[in-house]
Amino acid sequence: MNMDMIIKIIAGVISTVGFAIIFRLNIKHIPFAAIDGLFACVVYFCCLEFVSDDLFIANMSAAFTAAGLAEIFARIGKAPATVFLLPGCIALVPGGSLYKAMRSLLIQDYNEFAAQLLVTAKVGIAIGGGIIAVSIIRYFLNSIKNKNSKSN
Amino acid sequence: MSEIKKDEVSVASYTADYILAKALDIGENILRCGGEPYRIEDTVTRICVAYGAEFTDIFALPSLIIANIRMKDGTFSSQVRRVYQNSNNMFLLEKMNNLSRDVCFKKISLDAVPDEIEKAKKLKPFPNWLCYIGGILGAGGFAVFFGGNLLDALVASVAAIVVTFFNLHKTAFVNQMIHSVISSFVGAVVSLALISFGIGENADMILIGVIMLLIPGLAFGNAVRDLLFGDTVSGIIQLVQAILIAVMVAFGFTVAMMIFGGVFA
Repeated sequence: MNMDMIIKIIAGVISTVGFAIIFRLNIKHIPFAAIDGLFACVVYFCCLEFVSDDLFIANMSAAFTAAGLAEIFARIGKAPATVFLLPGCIALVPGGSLYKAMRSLLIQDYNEFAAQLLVTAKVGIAIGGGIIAVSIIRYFLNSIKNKNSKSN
Repeated sequence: MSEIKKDEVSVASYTADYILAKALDIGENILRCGGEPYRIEDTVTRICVAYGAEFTDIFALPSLIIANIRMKDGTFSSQVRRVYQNSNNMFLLEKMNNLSRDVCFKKISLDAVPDEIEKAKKLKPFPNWLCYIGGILGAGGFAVFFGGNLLDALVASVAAIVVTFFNLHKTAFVNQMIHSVISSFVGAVVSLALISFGIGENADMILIGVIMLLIPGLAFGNAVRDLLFGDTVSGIIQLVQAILIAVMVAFGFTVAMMIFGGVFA
């Protein structure tokens, strides 16, 4: 955890709050969304630093964390999980690589264009995978709960 | 006492058409403010079952809801709704979700649904000017997040004000594609102009900060989620929409960069 990383995490949380306002969250849910974004950023940078420098693993675990926390906050705040998930994982969105792909197209560097486009697709699939993992866990927990209540 | 009476009336006297129409009103509004298609299918099914539907078939796409219900007495109803998607509005989504829950548990009668929807639409979590603050925080935060300094964040914030203005007046444009081209072009022009005046050091970081406001990155993530979850059709629709909007944003930025070609050389 160096200084640069802490600054980036703070910036990530600030932009999470910004996007929470853009998505018109209920004011009382914005702190939860900020915590969601904070954990997503921390997991993302910690994965890059300590686990592996592969973007897929970092994004997938960060999206998994954000989606899992969103489910918990949804129970606490009595709102759909999307409300917290949307701002929470905005910092992971592959806007940077999409921009780089587009700039490479402009300067006619087609190899870089293809590479950045693939990075964008990879990160997008990683985020989708992280979110879906939480959905699957929730689905299983719900089905176990329903089975128990029926047998009782 | 009066509540029990209302309850008896509600289940007994509503026709299949009426129940489905009111359920679709709620579903349509959830879809319009950014709810996932499976959430609409779930909500409409729950409401119809709560009011005595025996058999339901609901299919939702990002722009369409197809619904067919059959009541216990054998009457049935089929309805289709074309939905024009709006921007993400989590406040309205939450209100609609609570309304659907209240309707299911018969806290609110079906007759009151249109009034409740109108009431929820009039409520605003905060005034519009706060959206500009949101845009400033979002773009400025991302400029720093991707490695810029505070001056870069300032330039990104100025461009964000313009982009947010365009986002708030989305309905003035013909469609989403043209809106993306024009707002990304103007956003890029503002930030590149400020850079060419010597304010802001890292053009890349500033532009990424601005681009994050426009890029449908979340739509991309949602599309992949839908595809993996088995909602193949709505996943593909969202994926194509996301890619097209990204291309349009890229086009707007490219034109602006060509005009300011000297900055990038």
